[in-house]
Amino acid sequence: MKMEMDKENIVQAVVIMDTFNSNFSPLTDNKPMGFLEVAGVPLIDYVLESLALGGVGEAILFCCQNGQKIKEHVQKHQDNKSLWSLTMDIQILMSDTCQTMGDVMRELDAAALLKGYFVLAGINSITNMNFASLLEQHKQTCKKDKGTAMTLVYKKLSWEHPLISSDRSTFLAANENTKKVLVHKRYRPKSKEKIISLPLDLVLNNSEVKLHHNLVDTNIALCSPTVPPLFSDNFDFQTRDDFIHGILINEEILASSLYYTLLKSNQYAAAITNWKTYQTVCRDILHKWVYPLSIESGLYSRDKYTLTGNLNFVENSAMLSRSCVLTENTLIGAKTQVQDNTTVTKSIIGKKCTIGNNVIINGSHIMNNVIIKDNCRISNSFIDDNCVISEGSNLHAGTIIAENVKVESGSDLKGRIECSIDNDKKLQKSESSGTEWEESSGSSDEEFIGFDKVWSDSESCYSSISSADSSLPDSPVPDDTKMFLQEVIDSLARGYDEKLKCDYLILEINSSRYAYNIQLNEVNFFVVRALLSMPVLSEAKNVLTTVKDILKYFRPVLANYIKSKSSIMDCLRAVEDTCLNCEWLDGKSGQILHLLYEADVVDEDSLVDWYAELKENANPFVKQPSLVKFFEWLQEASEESDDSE
Amino acid sequence: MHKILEFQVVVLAAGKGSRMPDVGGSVSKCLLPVGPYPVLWYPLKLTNNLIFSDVMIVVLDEDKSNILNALEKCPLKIKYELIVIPSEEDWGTANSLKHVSARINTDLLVISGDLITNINLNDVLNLHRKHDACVTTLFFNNGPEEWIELPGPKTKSKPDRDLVCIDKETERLVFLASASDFEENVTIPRLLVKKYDALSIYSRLLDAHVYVMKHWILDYIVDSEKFTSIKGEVVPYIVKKQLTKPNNLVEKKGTSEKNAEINKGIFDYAIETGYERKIREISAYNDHKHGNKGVYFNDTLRCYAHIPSKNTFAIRVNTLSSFYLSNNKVLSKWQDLTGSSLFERFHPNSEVKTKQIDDNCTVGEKTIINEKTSVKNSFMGSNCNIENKVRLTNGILMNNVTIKESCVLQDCVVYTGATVGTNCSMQYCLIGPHHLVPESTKSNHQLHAETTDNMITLG
Repeated sequence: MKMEMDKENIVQAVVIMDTFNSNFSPLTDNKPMGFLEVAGVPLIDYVLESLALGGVGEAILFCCQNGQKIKEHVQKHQDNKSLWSLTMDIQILMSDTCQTMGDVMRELDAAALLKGYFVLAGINSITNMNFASLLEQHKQTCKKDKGTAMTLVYKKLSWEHPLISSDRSTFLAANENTKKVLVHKRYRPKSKEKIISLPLDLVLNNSEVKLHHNLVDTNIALCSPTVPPLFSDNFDFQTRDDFIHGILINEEILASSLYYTLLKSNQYAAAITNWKTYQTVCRDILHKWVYPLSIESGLYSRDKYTLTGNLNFVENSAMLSRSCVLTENTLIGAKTQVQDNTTVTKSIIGKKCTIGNNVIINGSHIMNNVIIKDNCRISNSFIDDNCVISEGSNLHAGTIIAENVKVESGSDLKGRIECSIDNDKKLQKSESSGTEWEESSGSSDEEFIGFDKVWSDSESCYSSISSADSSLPDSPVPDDTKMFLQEVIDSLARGYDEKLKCDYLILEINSSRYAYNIQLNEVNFFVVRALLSMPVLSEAKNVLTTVKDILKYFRPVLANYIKSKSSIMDCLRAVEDTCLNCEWLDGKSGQILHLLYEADVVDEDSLVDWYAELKENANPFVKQPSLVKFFEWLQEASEESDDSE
Repeated sequence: MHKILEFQVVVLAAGKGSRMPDVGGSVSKCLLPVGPYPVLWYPLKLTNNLIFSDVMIVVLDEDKSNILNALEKCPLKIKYELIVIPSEEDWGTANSLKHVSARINTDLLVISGDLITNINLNDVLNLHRKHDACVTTLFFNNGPEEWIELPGPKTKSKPDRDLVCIDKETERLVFLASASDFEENVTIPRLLVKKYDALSIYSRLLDAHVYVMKHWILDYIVDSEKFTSIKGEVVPYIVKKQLTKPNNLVEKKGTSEKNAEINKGIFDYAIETGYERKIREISAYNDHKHGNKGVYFNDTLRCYAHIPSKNTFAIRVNTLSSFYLSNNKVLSKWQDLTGSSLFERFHPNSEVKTKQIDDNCTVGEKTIINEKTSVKNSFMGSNCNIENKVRLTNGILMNNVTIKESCVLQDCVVYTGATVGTNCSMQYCLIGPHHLVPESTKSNHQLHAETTDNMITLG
């Protein structure tokens, strides 16, 4: 049935089915990212259709979890002869061991499934670009420069666009004539950095350097056959950004270079990386920017929606009461009922939902089989499958309700994540960091619709969670520093086990420091923290004697870093941090300080200053009994010594 | 008839040629010969194409009479007026502008006196008019300067390079600095890269030193007294100030008149008197595609840069290499540069007795070229005397030069009043003004001149 295609010229694409982050947790905890519905259609359907439309002949879906579910989904579509299945072969690879994008690439290298140039996309990329012609363009670049490894695909937008302003923005400097990437830098969202600095040589050696900061990373790249082996050769490449930086820094050694291309203005591309971009992409799909991808993507038969003006889409089998109002930009899915006097504005409601009387829904996303009872107010919220929102509830300011949750009647939820445990409908209320949604003021651009805060400030797609299993749960350190800390711990633990010279360890720490670009005061902080978080401690029977041992052994290391008054303060802060975070030190802060004091690492003045500071900030840490005891002792000791003078 | 002037033109020709090699004695840069005419003639010729034809030329005191003499002999339709500045004091270009400021009551077009190009200046003026800019500049993107073997001792001077940041979409000039201002890293405000979509940072542009300025900028230069150079200080300052938003005027009203006078910033000068702002607000025009900011991002100060297409001919005669190169090229580009062909390659009052002289030569007034000489690709000024049996290839002879019998000169520059003795053989040499090269000198890549340090004579 399939047309016999020229096997040589078939366009291969690799789709990584995970984003390796928790930006959409808890929704993606139990189901694959590909099943997240965007404007009523699972992501995977958009991605497969866009690949097929873009001329891809063979897609390799790489799943790191829930592979079976994806396999079933794809099988179902193939059985039903979805459009894409006619022109595109699908291979599904599964591996539970892959933790990062880098692992995936190494696995692919080992599997040797890729025959040549290929498209690398993420499951979160929504686009209508023509992959085949872009890949052809990439091949042309390769002819000019044999070392071409990757062409990155970007879309240019204005700086104020939510796709840019709410994600980690990319700064790119490239040679204007060749389009070769020279500098690639990511900024945190809303970063306050004012200055961009470029190496002077680079500017002088290229007669025209193009500077871009208004780019949307589409999470799509065109790769040469050298890319998977490059990942295999460099075990430290965990993410695509690692890869880019590695190539740019070691261009000579790796003999590879990167290029970029901008999409034409009539082509759409965006990556769904957080709630804000999710919201934006949903709207863009409703507004047909992504044509031919649309709310009917992946449907087996088309034309099921009726457009009723003001961009309200209603599925033919939906039942709307006569008195309900759809204001604008709404989507009502199949078999959904909307009852009397309900108003829906700028919202997407999935299939088989029941919306009661007098409900007001504004700027929200409601998935399938949700029951919303009478008199609810729902604005700027997300409600996942099978939830029940009881009468008179008020959800607003970025509330996220996970699957199977029943919200009690009359509840007022604001900026929270609600999720159930084990289907027993017990509510777990989490108020963790990610939920600080903004309310609707302040945004100067158009009317505020929906989630105006990124889910987790730090990471977008392809980011690494490799350090998540380190011994420091819930610590709010950003990734680089986290990895740095882990490396310091590893170095010290090895040094302690093998009785290495402290000089070597200092060298090792310093080189890690430069690798992760860590400030000196942070180094002081992390070295002390690492010393107190060494794995031996968690197993030790008598923690304090082990700490004493460790301090004694690493005295030269400490002497190297903890010299000045400010470094002593860093050290003390590290003690505070570690004692709060590590259970084996729980309640032993006073003793630890005593040991440090006896080892002459910290002096009395600094201790007193630090203690005063803690008190001033009303830090709960101050009240730890052992700490209080220690300072009492210190006070007495100093008075005694004063007396004796 | 009273004419309403839109622009007044100032040609700055008081440069001392500090980038030229020291050949002893004074050589005015603007009088260096390029083809049959002095350098200064070319920028003046350029203004011929413009509708306004009153030109002020700022020159050094000591050069005035020489320049007047030289320009008299050149074909020029425009009216020009020489304005002298003292030779002894080291005045910068901004100082020169201050000096002429009293005579200027319109917007201003400043042209460097050493620019040779075939560009139509109206392109620059139109860009200025189109965006109601405060400063518009001109840069050439002609790739690196061609390498040719130069006369004189070999040097390894590296010219300082400008770093120019231009938004290609809007032609806004957003960043201007010299490469020597930075050591390892170039720092650029991040805001710039956010604001403009198509920002390019160039490092190999040739700054034409052509500036179109609003009249208020001149007032600002005069009042602020902190500027000496237009290129080095005034323009970078204004370019930088584009990012600043003007202070709220209401706040200032509280302070006394005196204080306001002292604290007058650039925005107090950049006041639009007419309906410009209102027109901009009403107009549907916007200069950038993305984003929701108003036209020009509502900036008061706007600097623009025009970059003509790559095949434009442009050279600034301020170094030995560009001087030499311009002579090399000028005849082949003559039609382009002047819009007419060169009829009189040999001045009617000259005596050319040899037949071995090719089409790529020009001969000045009262110059005598004797029999049995062979001349190729060479330019001879006025009152030169070339004796018998001389072979001259790729040479530049200024005025009053004497080349004695049987000399062989290849790729040499001979300055005013110099004499080359009999039977010399010289290649790639510079012969300084009024210098006498002794008989039978043989040399290669040398400077023969009475320099300030000592007299160099080489055999």
